[in-house]
Amino acid sequence: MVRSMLYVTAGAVAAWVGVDLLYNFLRLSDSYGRLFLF
Amino acid sequence: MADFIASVPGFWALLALSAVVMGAELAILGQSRAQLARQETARLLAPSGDWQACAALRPPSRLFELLAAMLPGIVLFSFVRVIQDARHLLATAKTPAVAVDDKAAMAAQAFSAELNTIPMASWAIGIVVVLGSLAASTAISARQRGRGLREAGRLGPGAPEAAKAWLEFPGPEMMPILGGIGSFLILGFLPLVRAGFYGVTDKIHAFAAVARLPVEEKGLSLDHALDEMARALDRSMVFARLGLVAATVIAAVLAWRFSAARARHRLLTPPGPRGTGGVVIALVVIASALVAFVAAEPLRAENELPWPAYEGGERLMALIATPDLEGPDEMERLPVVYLTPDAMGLDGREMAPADIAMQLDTTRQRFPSLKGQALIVCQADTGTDRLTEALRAAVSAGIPHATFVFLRRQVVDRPLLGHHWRNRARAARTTVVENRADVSSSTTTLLEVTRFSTCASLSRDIVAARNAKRDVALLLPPLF
Repeated sequence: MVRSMLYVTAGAVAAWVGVDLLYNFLRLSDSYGRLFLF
Repeated sequence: MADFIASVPGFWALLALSAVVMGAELAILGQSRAQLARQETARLLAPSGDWQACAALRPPSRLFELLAAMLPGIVLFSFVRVIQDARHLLATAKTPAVAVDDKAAMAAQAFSAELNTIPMASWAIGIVVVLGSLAASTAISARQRGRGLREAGRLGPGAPEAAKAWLEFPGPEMMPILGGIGSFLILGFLPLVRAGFYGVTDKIHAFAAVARLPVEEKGLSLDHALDEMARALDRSMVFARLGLVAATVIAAVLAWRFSAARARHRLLTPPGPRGTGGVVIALVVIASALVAFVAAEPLRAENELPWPAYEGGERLMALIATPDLEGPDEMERLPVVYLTPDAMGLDGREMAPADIAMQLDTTRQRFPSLKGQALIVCQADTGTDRLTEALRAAVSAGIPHATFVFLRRQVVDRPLLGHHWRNRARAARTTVVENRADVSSSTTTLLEVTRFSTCASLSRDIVAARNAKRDVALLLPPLF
């Protein structure tokens, strides 16, 4: 059980960071758009 | 469709790579399912005393689940690379090194590449990730159940009771594992992918609408489209974070509820031999995620730092310190005569007054819509003797309407995009005359150029008159 929870924790940490990276990557489009307008 | 294919850089390579990875995931899925089928056959033979069938199962390997989990990364990074290249092209289009005429085409190409690659990436990565999750879940289940059945086969002849527990609960089924992975994907990632996908679609519509708008409204409309997309993405991030918390709970409950080890423990079966591979991989995953999080700090800083508010108008990227004044008139796109104490020229090229006159004359004849207008960008400390030469050249070329430009430099230092600057340009319109008699209107202020020593002092009076809503005539000294 302890191992299962370690795997769930690893999955949760990876998913949390993955979501953060995906959000920031998509959001970067805004910065490039604003650079174009600058 | 042909336009879409042409706008995505390396479309066929990306498509081929995605297809190969999808094929590899399907192959892993097929191989793992075949393994599970063989295990099930051995499992059915064991109760009749044929423990050998279980013991003879092939030793399980982690290779397939690792491959299944990592292959989507190749597709992901390929698309990220193409999208980032498109964004860099947009940043390059902004640099003064790119000719003004090429900027629009380059920017259009960059926007088109980014906006068309993101939806393609959403579909391709989405399919690859779904197949990868299916293949990885099946491969994990096959490995763990295979290990359990081999343990049952090993224990069977000497300890049939313990072997039966391993036979009944050899390892996790595929579905709870897929449920755990799927809950992270659906509740955590899907809201963002959805917002990104529809955000891009909205941006494409906004671009299409911008093309029909008058020039002065284009930038503002684009600015609003960017605001909308950013807001939609920010909203979806709130849902994604809540979704991740829910997904963690769901994955933990599934892992606990369907734990084969827990079920065997309930049957008082002693735990079997366990390697440390799984623990090492879990710790490596956590460490890699933390490293990626720290490495992405500039990305976060870039997104968190707001940009200066959008300002319309022409951008004149000249490096000349014009008088520090706020002209009341808009600057239009016109030929630019520049002046410094050491040099003068036209449209960025240094020229003698006679050449300026010749070039302006040609421009006037080619573009009658200029209506005899030109811009004067004069460094504040430039003497009016030089200014007089330039203005006389313009008048001799049939361009008497000189608009003085005042530039105010704005600088941004972005965490990821670096140092950029723009000139906020304001202007003050004048008409150049060579004879006092040419000015008859009572609403016109006549300024004799020779009565001022520098562009700065002359500009102050020009702006004061324009602010008082008066026309300004600049009187040149007589030639002889």
